[in-house]
Amino acid sequence: MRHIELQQVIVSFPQPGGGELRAVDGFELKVEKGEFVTIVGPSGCGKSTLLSIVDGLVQPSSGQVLINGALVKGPSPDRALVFQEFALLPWRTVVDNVMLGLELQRKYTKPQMKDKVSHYIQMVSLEGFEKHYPHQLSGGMRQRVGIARALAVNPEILLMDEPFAALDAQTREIMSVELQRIWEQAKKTVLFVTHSIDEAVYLADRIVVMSGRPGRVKEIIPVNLPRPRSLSIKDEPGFVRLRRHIWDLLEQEVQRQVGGKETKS
Amino acid sequence: MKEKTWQRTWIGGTAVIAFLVLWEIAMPLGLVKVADISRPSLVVKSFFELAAAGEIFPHLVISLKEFIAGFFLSLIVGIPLGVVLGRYRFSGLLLDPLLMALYTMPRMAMMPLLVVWFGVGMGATISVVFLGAVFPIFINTSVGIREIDPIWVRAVRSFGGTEWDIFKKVFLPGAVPPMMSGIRLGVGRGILGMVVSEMYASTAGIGGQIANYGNSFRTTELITLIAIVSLLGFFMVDLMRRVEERVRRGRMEGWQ
Repeated sequence: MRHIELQQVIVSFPQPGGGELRAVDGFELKVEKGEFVTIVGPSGCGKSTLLSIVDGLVQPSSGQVLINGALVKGPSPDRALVFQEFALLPWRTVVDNVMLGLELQRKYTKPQMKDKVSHYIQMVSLEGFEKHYPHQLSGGMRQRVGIARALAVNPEILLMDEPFAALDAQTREIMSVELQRIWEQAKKTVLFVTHSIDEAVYLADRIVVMSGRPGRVKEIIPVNLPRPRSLSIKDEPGFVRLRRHIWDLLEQEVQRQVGGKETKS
Repeated sequence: MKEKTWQRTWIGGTAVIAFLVLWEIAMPLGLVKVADISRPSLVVKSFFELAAAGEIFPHLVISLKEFIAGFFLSLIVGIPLGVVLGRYRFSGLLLDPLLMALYTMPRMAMMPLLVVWFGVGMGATISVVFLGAVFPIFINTSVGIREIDPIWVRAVRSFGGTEWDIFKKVFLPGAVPPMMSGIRLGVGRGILGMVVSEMYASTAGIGGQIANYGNSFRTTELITLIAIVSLLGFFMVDLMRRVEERVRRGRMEGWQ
């Protein structure tokens, strides 16, 4: 079943000296329900902007986004964002941070919210840290809070904006494994933006490789590696081949941007 | 934390005691005349005499009433004003120059007018306390609001939060630490304003008493009253500092 559909999405930003900067150009993507789609591309190709558009925080300059066939007009509880900078409120404990989205929905009583919160805190393995404040947690734990906060509103779609970019390499790998487990448990459609090719291949059902600015779809690559995947899958030939292929695509883009002229892809 | 507080009391206390001892023995040593600086022992004695004669507490009550009224007003005006100025760029552009001009205006020079507007007595003093306290409160509040990380706003917005939600869940709690500093500064300036205004425009209140005894050069009584005001200010500011620390503790460390 089709879940997310981006049709001819164009995003332009006005420039300080007049004129405008086209960040995303004619972006087309269809995502099925329950699918895990990762998006990679050179810096400045508008990957994060795309997530803001799907979330409804930013309106496209032209084109449209459909969720379950309905036009996106603004943020809604059926989509939740996970931020690269975690975006936790520093004066709130873990419990209160996870509760934020639920409070804003005004649908549940306090005991109901507490139940949900403790369920998701358990899901991201943060039991015992309920009363901690963000500054008392490691980066990885903070992002677990961010993920629990997003999951707590029970969204159909999880939008993840380079969620592990601020973490060290090992924590990053561990978090990918964790995210895969959580995804299989929670059954969400995921759009995941990343700079890491490994992360993109490891997590994805399909990978969207974007061109340099203005961002277009360069290629969509299905990943047919069996699940659940362990980290050792990164040494297997299928994985290595995909990594190589994506690297080549991105290199072309970087070369094109540096050289300033288009090469055939 | 505990040890630090203890250290502060101990080391600071030593200096206070040394000062008092020096002051007490300055006269017997022939360094000064008693009429110039009095002595701590005389001050303590005069405190009890004045208190028994009803020269202190009824006045203290009047002063505190004025202070609380003026300070409360400065809170209910200063905090919302600071929020608006911090939140909406236009209001800042519009009002900043005007408010800064008012801020740097010498309040005491305004006293004659304040007396005309609000009358001799409590009215004038309340207005001076208000004018003293409201500026640090609104300035610090608006700084707190301006320093809010926009990513927190995005987070609330992404969950479908309204402008009111953003205000309630991000701007208010996020601006608390600088706002508390502003309130603490406001207490100090408010007490100062209270005393000076009473000296000028009132015969009642602690400031009025200070003026009475000062004009007749009754040094000991004057110093007694000044000491009462200092202690009052010290405890009020210390109280605010404690509240501030409590608010910051745990949740704020490593953040601001």
